Amino acid sequence: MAEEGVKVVGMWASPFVARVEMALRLKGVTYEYLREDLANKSEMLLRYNPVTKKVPVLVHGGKPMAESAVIVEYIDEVWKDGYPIMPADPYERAQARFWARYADEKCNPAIYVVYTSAIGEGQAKLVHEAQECLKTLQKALEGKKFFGGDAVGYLDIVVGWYARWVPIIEELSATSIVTLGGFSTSVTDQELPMIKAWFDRILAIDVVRETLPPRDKLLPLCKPDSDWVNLGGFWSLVAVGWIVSVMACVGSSNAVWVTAMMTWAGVHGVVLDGGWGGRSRVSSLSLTTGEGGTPLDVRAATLVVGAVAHRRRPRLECCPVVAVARAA
Amino acid sequence: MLSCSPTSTHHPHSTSSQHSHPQTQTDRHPSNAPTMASEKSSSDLTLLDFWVSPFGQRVRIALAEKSLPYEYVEEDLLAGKSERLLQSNPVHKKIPVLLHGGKPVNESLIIVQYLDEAFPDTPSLLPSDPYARAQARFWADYVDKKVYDCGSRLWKLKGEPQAQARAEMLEILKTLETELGDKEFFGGEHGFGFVDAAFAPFTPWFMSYEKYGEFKVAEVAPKIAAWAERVGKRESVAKSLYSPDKVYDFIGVLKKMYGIE
Repeated sequence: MAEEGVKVVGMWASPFVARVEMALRLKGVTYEYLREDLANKSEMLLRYNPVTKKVPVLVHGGKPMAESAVIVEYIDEVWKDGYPIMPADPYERAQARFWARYADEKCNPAIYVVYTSAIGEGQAKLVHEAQECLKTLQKALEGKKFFGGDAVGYLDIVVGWYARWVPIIEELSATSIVTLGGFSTSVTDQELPMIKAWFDRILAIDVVRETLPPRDKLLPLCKPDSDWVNLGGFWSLVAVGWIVSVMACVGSSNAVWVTAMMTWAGVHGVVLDGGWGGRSRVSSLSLTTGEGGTPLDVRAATLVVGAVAHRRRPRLECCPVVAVARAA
Repeated sequence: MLSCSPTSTHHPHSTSSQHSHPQTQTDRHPSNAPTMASEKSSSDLTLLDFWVSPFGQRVRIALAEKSLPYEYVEEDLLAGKSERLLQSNPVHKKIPVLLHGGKPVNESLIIVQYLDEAFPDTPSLLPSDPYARAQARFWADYVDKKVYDCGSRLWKLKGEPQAQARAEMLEILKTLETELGDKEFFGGEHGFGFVDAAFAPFTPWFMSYEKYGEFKVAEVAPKIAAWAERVGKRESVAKSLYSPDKVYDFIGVLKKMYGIE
């Protein structure tokens, strides 16, 4: 079928839109990308997808369709002489569909819940559950380079976005779901090496890397509004020694813990009172240099920084916020 | 509609695992094709199922549409799950499970698509045109995501949450009504198809939804009501589904089990 009028209605940070673009690119299909502002949905989107009103929508020859997994199968069927996405064997196809559904119905919510979790004891259980989901999903990967076998296939397209999102979630929620490193609140402190290896392999695929939103754009988007925890920005601050500003509820267990971590890491700083309940903005950073500017290696700095992050959820009564800047 | 259990199963309320014929059985048993759903058959298809499950019924409908012989195995879910079920579907531990040459396929809509693909010489439920297939998958997925969950909330909950479920159910029915339009079946030109098979098992549940939600499908979505009647007469559907009364009674059993008033 000709590539007449292929359009994707999407949003740059949607993993579901990424699936569709990945499939089209693997097939070598050129398409027009129509950017949608989800906070202000266009009349066009509502006309194309009145039922769920969501992106992605694929429009082919004027005919719209929705649901990313459905769209990917459509792409595979229409451009059937191109890159094979679905397995050929009916039983393998059933397995691929089964795992895609499992990922969407079980893994996605489990991972999302870690992202929105409050740092603390309850989080460990959520991380463990996310790990259990991924360990189950891993069964479809065992012994293979990709879920699709030697090459990227349907299931890789469906869950490929984990390779970009999960490490970000780990960083923002100070957890280790897949990658062991830094501070971990996981119950078993277990990493998932098979999944991690797959993350690395899939990100090495050009089409995948080009389609997934870039990490440096995605990370700030995922971070709750917290100008003062813009670590990328702070790394460029020039100062002597270590400058640490911590906003926390003085006397709260989180503040006590943060201070203990800082002492352990040899980081000196000041704790600003952020008060109880809600969030209060810190508009200016209090600068302190450490006694003698104790040098810290990068890993320790990551430990402290990664350990706390401002949480978006308003119900969290106290949010320790750490900003760390390193001397140039 | 069937007024009793299929021959190879036992009535859910009996403890016997033999064929048992409840009082209401008529002489002319609807599923009277012994090569179909009763004995171990020559095609190596086995279906692990539960009599009243709409998800299992989708598969039964598909198998009947394709005239594929199979062994029907009733899992008495109210009593517990069999070893075979747990091994065949370790991830979800749910029926239906289709075993083809011993290899399990899980998830009702995935099973139906599998049957289309593994038995390409039988009448297919999905149409052949890719766009029509995409539409069919979208709508079957819609039914899958919405109907059972919303319906369950309707009979499980009270007060405001129930009112919310009711509003949602009306919304779902109206949306499906719009999609059906004036077509005889959701499959349109294709005829009875994937979405019809996906949604038909819920038609005996309409009466219960109506009772709990205090509405009438015929008023809210008259085309859906007419479709339900049409589809109920189709042989593959008629022999797979149970009467609305049986469904209503079953819900009563579940409510007692959950301790819902």
